[in-house]
Amino acid sequence: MILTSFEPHFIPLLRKLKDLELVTLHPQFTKMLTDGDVSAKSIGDFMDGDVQSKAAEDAVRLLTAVAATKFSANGLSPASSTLVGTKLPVYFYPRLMDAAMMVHVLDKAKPKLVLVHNDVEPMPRLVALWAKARGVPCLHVPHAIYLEHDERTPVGTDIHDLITASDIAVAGPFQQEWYAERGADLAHMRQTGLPQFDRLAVSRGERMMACRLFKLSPVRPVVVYTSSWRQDTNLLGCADAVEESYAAFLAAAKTMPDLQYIVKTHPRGRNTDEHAKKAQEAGVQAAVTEQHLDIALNAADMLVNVGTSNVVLEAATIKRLPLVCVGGGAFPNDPEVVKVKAEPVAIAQAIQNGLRNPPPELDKLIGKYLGQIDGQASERVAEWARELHA
Amino acid sequence: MSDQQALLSDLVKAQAEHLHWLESYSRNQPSLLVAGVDILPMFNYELIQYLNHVYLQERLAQK
Repeated sequence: MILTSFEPHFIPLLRKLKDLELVTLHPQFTKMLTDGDVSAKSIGDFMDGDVQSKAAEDAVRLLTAVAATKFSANGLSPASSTLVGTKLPVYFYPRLMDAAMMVHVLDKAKPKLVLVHNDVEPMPRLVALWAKARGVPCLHVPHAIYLEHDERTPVGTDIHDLITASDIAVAGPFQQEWYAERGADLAHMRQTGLPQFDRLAVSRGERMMACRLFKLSPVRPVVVYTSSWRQDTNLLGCADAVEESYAAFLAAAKTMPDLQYIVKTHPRGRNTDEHAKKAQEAGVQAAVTEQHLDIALNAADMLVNVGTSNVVLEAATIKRLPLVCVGGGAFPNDPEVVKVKAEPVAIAQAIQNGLRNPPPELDKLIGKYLGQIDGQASERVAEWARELHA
Repeated sequence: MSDQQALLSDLVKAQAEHLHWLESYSRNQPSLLVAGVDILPMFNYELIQYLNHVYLQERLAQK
């Protein structure tokens, strides 16, 4: 039996493992798999009265212990100390029952392999913790590549630096080194490539068709701006960079009305309407969407990205797009990526240079980060999963 | 050092302290075990966001 977290990019690799019993952490993912003729159960199917009863007892015991504990807040700021000193039981109260229930239901289901797309968010980390405690292999197939940034905090100061899974499938040499620096054992890592990038190996479609889908003229240049969202797990994400960069980009775009613009927002950002409103207020005609990334990139003549993002790597595989990152700090060791400050003049100049000059050579960048782009990452991960499961 | 660099430097230190506190707190609470599995680290992803947020508000209020 393989237990998997909710990650749609896993579907092709799970299809290759469908002769094994598949169990998902979320009923919606089970439905997606069964709709695609891959038989799967949900972990909730293993729930019974015994599991619920044990979990309820544990939740009460844990909450009592938390409420009775005087937390040492040494090293924390006054506000953080207050939070820790007064609010922790309140935070834990609604969460302990579910957590305890998951441990007991996993003990009942007894998966032989756990597959997660990250091992830091609450439920995937709990599953990875369970696997570690029970000696069950846990294969982490990262949902993204954590990238370098000039302002990145030192190793060990970001929640993503923590490794709980026993094995990690990595995209390429950069990601392997990244996890090795954080203590991962090279013997438990393989450069398989990542399933979400398999799509980049197949034909990307024609630019003209992509322009038509966005109702853009194929004879005029298209600039795609990829935005982001605040990610508060890292204090760098608390900055106003997303808003400031976008305002500067719109001011630059306003000076170049002959160009066409697509603004692609982050699917988890919940800020698409805000982006559309700001474009309208700035008098910039732009197609604003949180979907259709691949079509937008196919239509593009260049990419302007805020901060650092895997979308830059996805755009690189098209091999004809100049790549610009706004805000500085991103891809510090990769000259192929142009870095500009969040200033209208600098952005406008980078766009004009990018459209005027021949596209950069990007094979080195692609190999460093994405490894082999041959459409076979799912196959390689599935083979490894089968070995671990045996 | 500019104000912005000083703020960034403080944020980096604070975040390191938050993570250190969370992970050492997790290691030092053996009573929070479920069937022998220490479940506490699972919450650190959310808790560090709260701690970072509270710290940032506190720091900005000092400006």
